[in-house]
Amino acid sequence: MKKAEKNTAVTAFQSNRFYTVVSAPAIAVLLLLFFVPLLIILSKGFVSNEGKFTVGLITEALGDPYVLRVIMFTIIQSAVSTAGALAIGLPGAYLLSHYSFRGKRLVQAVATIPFILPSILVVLGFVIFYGNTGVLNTILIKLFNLSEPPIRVLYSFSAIILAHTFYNFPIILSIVANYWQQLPLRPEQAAQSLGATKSHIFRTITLPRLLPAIISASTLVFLFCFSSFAILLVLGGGPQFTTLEVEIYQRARMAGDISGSSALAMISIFIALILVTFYSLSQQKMKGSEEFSPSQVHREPRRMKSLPMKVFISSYILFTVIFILGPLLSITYRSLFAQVSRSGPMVFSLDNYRLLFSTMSKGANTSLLSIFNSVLIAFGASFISVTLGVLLSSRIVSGRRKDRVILEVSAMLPMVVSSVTLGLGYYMISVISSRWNINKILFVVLAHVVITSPFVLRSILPTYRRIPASYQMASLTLGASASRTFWKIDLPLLRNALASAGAFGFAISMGELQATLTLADSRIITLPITMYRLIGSYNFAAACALGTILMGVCIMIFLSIEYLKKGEVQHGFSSHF
Amino acid sequence: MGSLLISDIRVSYPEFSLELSCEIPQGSLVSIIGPSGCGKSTTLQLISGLLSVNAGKIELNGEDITQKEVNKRNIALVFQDYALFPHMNVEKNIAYPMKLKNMKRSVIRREVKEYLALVGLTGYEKRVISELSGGEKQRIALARALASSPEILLLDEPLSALDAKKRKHLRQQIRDIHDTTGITTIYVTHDQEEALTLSDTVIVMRDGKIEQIGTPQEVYSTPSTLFVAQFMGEGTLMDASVLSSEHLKRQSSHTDGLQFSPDKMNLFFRPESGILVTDGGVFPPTLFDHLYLSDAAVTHQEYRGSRYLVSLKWKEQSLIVYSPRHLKADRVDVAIPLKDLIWYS
Repeated sequence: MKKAEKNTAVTAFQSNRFYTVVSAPAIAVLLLLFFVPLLIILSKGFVSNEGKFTVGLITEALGDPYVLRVIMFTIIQSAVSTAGALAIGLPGAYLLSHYSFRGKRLVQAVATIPFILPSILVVLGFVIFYGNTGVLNTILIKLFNLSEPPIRVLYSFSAIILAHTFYNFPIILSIVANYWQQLPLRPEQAAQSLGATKSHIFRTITLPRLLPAIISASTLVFLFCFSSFAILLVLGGGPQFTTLEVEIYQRARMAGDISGSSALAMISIFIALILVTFYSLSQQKMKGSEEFSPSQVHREPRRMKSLPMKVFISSYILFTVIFILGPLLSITYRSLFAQVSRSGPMVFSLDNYRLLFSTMSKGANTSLLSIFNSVLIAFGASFISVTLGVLLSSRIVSGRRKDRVILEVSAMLPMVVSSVTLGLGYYMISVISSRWNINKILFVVLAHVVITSPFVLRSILPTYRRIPASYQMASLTLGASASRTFWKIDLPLLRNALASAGAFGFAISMGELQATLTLADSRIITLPITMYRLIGSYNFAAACALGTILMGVCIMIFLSIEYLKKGEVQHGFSSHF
Repeated sequence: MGSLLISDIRVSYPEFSLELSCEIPQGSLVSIIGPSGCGKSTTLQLISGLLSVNAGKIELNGEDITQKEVNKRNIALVFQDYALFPHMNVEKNIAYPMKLKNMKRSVIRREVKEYLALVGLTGYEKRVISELSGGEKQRIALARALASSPEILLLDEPLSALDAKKRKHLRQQIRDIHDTTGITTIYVTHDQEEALTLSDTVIVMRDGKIEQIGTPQEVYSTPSTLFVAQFMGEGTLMDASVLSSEHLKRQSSHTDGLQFSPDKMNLFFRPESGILVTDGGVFPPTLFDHLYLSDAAVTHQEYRGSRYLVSLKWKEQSLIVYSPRHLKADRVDVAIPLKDLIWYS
């Protein structure tokens, strides 16, 4: 097949017109959903109390030693967390890319958990697992017969770093392992034949070649830690551990200082913009620095033989499993125990769940309502963002190169504007539109659409790209209209991709805390908000019961995505060539 | 069954432009042949409407369809990769165009059966696309295209992904189906054997333009340009300036001899036109006018199954000529009938 002819063939003019027409409203809606709140924040940040244009709010903020300290702390904790994630992720990346071993798939599966895990669950898991009366301390006290809990980590700088490391090292692990495994082996073999030692080869050849992937992954982790919220809010627990995101939320919703909050949001956007630019540059570097051709010799993961290596791998598996699964399993474990009498011992019971849903208790309505709200919002948000996503990707796939800019921008923008900032923007919209009496849940749904759409888009696009243009062209030449082709050919072939994109969006929306909290504060309660409140009031038993429910939903979604991946429609023609 | 008139259509891209006119008579089987990138697939897409023309006119049965949308043209296209819909079985694929016409279920079912019988795949209704072989997919794609009862059937290198044996079989089947249905067919290929054996008319394209339109015999034996001559088969290209009247052997009754003209100094002939004269070989030299090149050196003999292709060197010129048997001599004479010589500038 000739490349040039295939490319021109994609421009079947009438189906292009169709995709352009149907995607235009989708693009418009997404842009509105994203830019309206952003513009409102920007306008607040530049307008003084007297209603005049000013840059004073920002310069004032930057002159405030407290704000400067918050910015400094945000950057430092991000840097330390990134270093922690690197320290744990890189050895794992080495193992995964070089060896095949029993438990490899377990490590890979466990490492994907944090990707879909709501941060509020991470927080809860940490409190339950590492807390003074937590699972880890209880075990250690019993094992070594101690009188005091040996680990006192909660509500400290270490807790933040630990939680961030746990939450983010899988990013380093998967990006670097993937890249490492694809690195052609030839340069290493050449160096070896020139007489270089193993450690010399690693320092002079392998490490420099890995660097683009390491830098790219680290930037991403840094960005995530920079805009991290729930972990800071709960585990930080004090003004000395406040980050920019938390401060934006607190100024807006606790102090009611919208202007000051907007000014901080702009500083946050500015810093994130630098990071995202750096990230996309490093991504380009990563893609461009190696030639990945099929003729190259690749690394075949091999079995290991030496004993030290085996010990190393076993302990790494054990460590990751305990490190990741420990806190999560503790949540479920803790939810199943309750004090039957006021001073009695903890016994196995389902009381915590019963209490959640019994109409007698005070918290019941809250729990049920928050589950109902969360499911409603998640359904709405994922449905809308899948609809927008499929229309948008139809345009990206059928369109010319310049249309891919849409994708780039739509994937990057939500990284620049944090969820807290987005929530702040929607909060302002809800204030402005308050006289129309619009249900606030709608704004939460819209904010979640913006947050989930990049992920949804990225789940749909690869499958859409794999559909050969000739399918659509064949349908057209057989007499079907462009819209009929879209319904009968495109959509059925995308069915699994749409379902898993929807599931992914659903999971993200279900676990979303910061935008919802900033937007609606205590007026709309969702599952994560109720959990946050329960944790705040030290009602861990109830929080764990709710957390287990949330975790169950996430796991089910994760499994169904995996299942859908396996059932992907095979585009039969390619297998025969 | 339609006839197609293409007048002065033009498209241009940064690195490629196409410009052509031609007429495809009703019921004919026309092949378009040319090297990669000559614009033959693009031509099919212009006819089907998948690409739009920058200028010119396409008429189907006298009706201007230049601006007509793809799905309303009633021109079916069989794709190189077949483009069978993987989420539908064989029956649903073939039924697809018929459903679009809101035909009755029972009718569709019967028609699917008939189309499957036509392509020799009776009983394949419930088969899954991914389980079909390449040849089967090709025939299902053909059946699906026919099921849209098109005015014109376009085939874009439909056999290029198949092995040689299957190709020969299927191209005969395509010819048979054409003869049964009488449907006007345009067949794009890069294989000259396919073009010569299959079609009523051959269109040879190069760089977005038509080089020659003619019957298979015409494009092979009397190619209008050197490109067509060389593309449609093997042959010898000679510089005519090394020739003089001493090389001409003609019958006395003829008066015209070897005419050299300054603008046509290259001559071309097919390897089967040359006759090798070895010592003791029999050659009736007085039968026709011919060029006689004596004492050529045999440089190479390539076994071609039924015969040998002999490479020769004569006055710094390379020649190729068929021989029915392996030559023992290393120097031979070559005679080429004047009527088989084609002159180019």
